[in-house]
Amino acid sequence: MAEIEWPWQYSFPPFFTLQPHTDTRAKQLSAWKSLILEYYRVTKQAIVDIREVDSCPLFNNTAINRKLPSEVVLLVLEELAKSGNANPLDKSRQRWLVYWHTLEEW
Amino acid sequence: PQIKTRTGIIGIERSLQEKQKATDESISMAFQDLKKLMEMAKDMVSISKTISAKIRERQGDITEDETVRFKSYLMSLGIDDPVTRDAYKNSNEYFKQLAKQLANILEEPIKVNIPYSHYYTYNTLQYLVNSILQEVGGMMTLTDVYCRVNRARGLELLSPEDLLNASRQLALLGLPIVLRVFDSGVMVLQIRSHDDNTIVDVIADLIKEKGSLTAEELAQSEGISVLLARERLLVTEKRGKACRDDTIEALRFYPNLFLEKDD
Repeated sequence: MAEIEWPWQYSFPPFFTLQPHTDTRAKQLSAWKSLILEYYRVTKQAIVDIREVDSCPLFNNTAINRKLPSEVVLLVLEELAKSGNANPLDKSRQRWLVYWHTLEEW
Repeated sequence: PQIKTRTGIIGIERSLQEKQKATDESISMAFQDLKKLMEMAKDMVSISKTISAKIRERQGDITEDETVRFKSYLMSLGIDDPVTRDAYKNSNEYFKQLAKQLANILEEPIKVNIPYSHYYTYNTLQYLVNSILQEVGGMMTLTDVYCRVNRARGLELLSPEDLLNASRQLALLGLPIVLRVFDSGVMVLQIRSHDDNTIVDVIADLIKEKGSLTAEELAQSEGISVLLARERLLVTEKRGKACRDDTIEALRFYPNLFLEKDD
């Protein structure tokens, strides 16, 4: 597995708390979106299972002891789905397929 | 006639019994009086209801003075009937006077420290008034005000509603302090000239200096209450100058790098 170069946000603790301020949250979510895409491209994975995010270094930064709550993971994935970069695999929205490039781009 | 024995256990018991009987009597007397009082009050309530119905019928035909007087009757009876009264007069004269007094009381803490002089110019007076609340950071929670005012009074204490209603009048009367309600519902009195922007800037700088801050840390370093420290941090966050890190340990506030860092 190739190593990913983490962005500065990854070691910034507030990155792992959903921000209530509208503008801040928009910035935060877009940072998360690009980080998820980058991560899945580098590690060559495609499936996110929300039940297993705790074990994934992407959502769980052990170095600063913070992890992204699963509701927020779901929120980011829904954001990704809006831009065509993700799709739920089941009705309960627990498993998601992540596209490094949107289908249109292919 | 029965001879009263004052000695022995029987004597003690008897005197105890007599005492009890006396207190019993005075208690039942007191309650009877109360009942009578309450009956009188009931009449007053029904009368005042008919009056308020009359006021409603005549729709502003009555002079302001009359409604004011009527309101103070209601106040003294302890009937709160704002739904029907609010249309006729925005608030009671009593609250207005109370509001003025509040402004005075809250000015006092500093006035004591400064030697009295007749030669204060208007500006220095204004400055004094402003530094009243600045002593506590320009802001005081309503509960703190409640404590302070009532402790100063000793007798004729204020009820929480009185204080709240009086505080609502502050802004209308143009007094140097005003009531402010935070998003969280916390109510504070603050000096009129209080400017959120300067506070936000100060807090933002402080967060940057320390790296991150919790409400408790801010409260300690600034010497303000935790409640107010928390509100200040939340205001700073609302202005986009801070962002939060919510963990089990604490709610920490960081500089808002999301907005400040351009990528």
